[in-house]
Amino acid sequence: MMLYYYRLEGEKKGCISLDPAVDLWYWKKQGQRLDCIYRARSVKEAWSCIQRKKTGNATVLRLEELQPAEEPAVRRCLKKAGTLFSLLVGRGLLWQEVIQWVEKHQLEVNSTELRKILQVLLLQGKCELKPGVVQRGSVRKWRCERCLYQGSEIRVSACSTCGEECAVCEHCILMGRSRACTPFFLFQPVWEKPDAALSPPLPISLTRYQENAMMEIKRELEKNRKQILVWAVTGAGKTELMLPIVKKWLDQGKRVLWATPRKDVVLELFPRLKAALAGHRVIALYGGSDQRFTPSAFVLATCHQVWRFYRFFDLMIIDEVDAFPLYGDVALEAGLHRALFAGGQQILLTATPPDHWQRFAKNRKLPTVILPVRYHGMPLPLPQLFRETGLWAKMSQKRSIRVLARFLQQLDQQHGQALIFVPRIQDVHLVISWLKEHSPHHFKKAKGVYSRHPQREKIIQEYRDGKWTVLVTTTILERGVTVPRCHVLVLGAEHPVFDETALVQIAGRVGRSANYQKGVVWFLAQERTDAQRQAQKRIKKLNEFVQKEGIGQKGAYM
Amino acid sequence: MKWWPSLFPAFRSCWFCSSPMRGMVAASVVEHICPVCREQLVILGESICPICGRFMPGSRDTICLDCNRLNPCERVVNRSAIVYTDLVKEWVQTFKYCGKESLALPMGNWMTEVVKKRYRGKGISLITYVPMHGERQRQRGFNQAERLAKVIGKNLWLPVRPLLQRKKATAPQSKRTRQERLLAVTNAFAPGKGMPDRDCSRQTVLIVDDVYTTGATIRACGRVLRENGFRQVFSVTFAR
Repeated sequence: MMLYYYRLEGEKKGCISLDPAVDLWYWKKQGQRLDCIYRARSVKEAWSCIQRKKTGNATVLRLEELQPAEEPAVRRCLKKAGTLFSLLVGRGLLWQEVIQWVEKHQLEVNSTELRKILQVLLLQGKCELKPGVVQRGSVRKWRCERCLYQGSEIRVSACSTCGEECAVCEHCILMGRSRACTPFFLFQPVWEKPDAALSPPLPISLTRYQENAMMEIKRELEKNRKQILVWAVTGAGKTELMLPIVKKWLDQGKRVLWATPRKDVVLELFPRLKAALAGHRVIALYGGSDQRFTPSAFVLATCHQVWRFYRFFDLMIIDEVDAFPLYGDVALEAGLHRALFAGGQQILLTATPPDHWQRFAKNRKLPTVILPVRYHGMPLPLPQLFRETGLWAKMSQKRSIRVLARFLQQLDQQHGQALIFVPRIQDVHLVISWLKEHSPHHFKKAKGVYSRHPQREKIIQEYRDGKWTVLVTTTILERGVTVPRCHVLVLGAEHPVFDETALVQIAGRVGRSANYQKGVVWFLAQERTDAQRQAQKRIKKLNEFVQKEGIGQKGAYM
Repeated sequence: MKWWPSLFPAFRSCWFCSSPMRGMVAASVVEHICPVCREQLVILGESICPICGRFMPGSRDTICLDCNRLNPCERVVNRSAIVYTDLVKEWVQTFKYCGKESLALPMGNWMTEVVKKRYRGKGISLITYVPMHGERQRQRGFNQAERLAKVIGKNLWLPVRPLLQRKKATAPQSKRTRQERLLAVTNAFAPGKGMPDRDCSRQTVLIVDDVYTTGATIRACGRVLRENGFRQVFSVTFAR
């Protein structure tokens, strides 16, 4: 893709242009003249002209041969630029994505015209142009501008598009390829005048304790804190807690993002939020979403989709902050910060903050709101630890496993639904075939599910509807699942995937409904690990804290 | 000690889905595919059509119906690594359309293993690949068959030459029916800039492509190569 680089008379810094005719027209109007102009083969070359102030391989063009664009053509472009900008405001998009937007909204613009329109936006300062990957300094410092990733997943390969070797980012490749020769556009956000939208009142009521927590969050927000940690135990009603805040901000005409690392959580939350926030447009963005091209003030998205926004949101609610893949991924975190409007605020929601966040909370470095009690006021179910030597050998040889049999027995007695967690995907099949051998009537109502199961969503929905009694699953269901009559068994709890947070989350699946408190949490392992003991200890501590403060059952129900 | 895991990684990951798994560094590609992926694969073993390499469970050394219909002098012997199942389709799409070029390495290595096993003693002296039309290649940024051929060439220490070129831009084969495919590619190829001027009747050439469905593309390439004097033409594809 051809680009142009030019310098104005009397200025040192150059500019990139997509269509020099528009620039000539613009600067002529401003009464300035161009000093020199070069043609570059790609945005990478033009960008390095600006950075290094050297023109390298770029071809010199003769200024006399270039004609400024004609007035009516520019007028048309200006008009279309307004329409395009109103759609793309606050987004960060690659060239091919901009084309997709244009096609989806049927703007009837061909690619030469699109270049002119984007050039108008660039000159107006409404848009910024960068290469997809910036190759500057040593290889380790190269950065993908789209996903803000730096590291070994940026590779160099021969590229037929620009005819050179250029860098490509494989970190965000599933969202469209970002290359050093692909232009990346950042559309500036504009502060829209808030229109006082009146929306119907929320169809929920909060318990007294939730109300208190909500007021506290509101107070912290008013103090203009950048980040607020909301530590609410599993089943405390985090979603309901945030709804009044979201609604208040949306009613003020502000823009709100609800981000979460998991697609399942997005799919579960979407209908709930849509019902609760009637009167506002709610869109859900995830891989394969059909609402990708809809502008909206409230966005529910997976963290990866947030890379496509640029300084857009005034308030950001980040659900399950400590979950994979968000926690520890620098690029995703940077993406979330980039999507924040100047002075925007972030609310971090979690049931299991990592240790160092707990320390920050204690040292008052991170303003924290704690909600240690479930919405119905009942204590959290305490996990029981069991040991079974040679668990997986027994499982594959189909020998009897006492604890598992007992678990199924008490499941029948209590008329519950079981979630059996296993560490690896291949174990799902093992457990299912064990059930076939030892407990045929459970086998008939059992299903296995894992991240890449072809019918994953369907099976989970059927389990929620009560079609299956036993669901064997990997850690994908550790969060965001609510089944009223749930019992939990963790098989092989010594496996490193079951760290303390995971185990606390898993234990939190049980007893979420006020009128069924018979569910149990059993950890079955070949050996005791720190994670199991710590998880047990943490839950115990929270329950004790609630008792001591006297905010248990009675208080919360008022 | 940030450098420690870069020297001694805690675990290796599956080539295609990045889920962690155990394995030796020098193991073959198949051993570095996680059990979940492997479950959805059909690896081509001995029960295949001896011409096109199609998976024919339970039969040995019988030519499949499609190959039977063809004129014997048009046939090109093909071998593939795996059957084109849904998961493999996903991989190939990630490689070709999403542009995850690093997948060329495991795919190429796997195809190298196939070539070493199936074409032993055939005296392959040259590797070429199915060309793409210039405009399409500019859009995609790379030619997937070329990437695979480069990996294979490097592994086998054989030269990779662009012997062919595409004369007309055809719509993607993957969007056509069988009949359309067979018709579309006839006369689509011509000798390319890498075609040697001297006599090459003693040379055996290997054509590389990503997917073999009807074989029309490979046969059209094979015909051009034979017309230009190559004695024997074989082909290898990733999926069949």
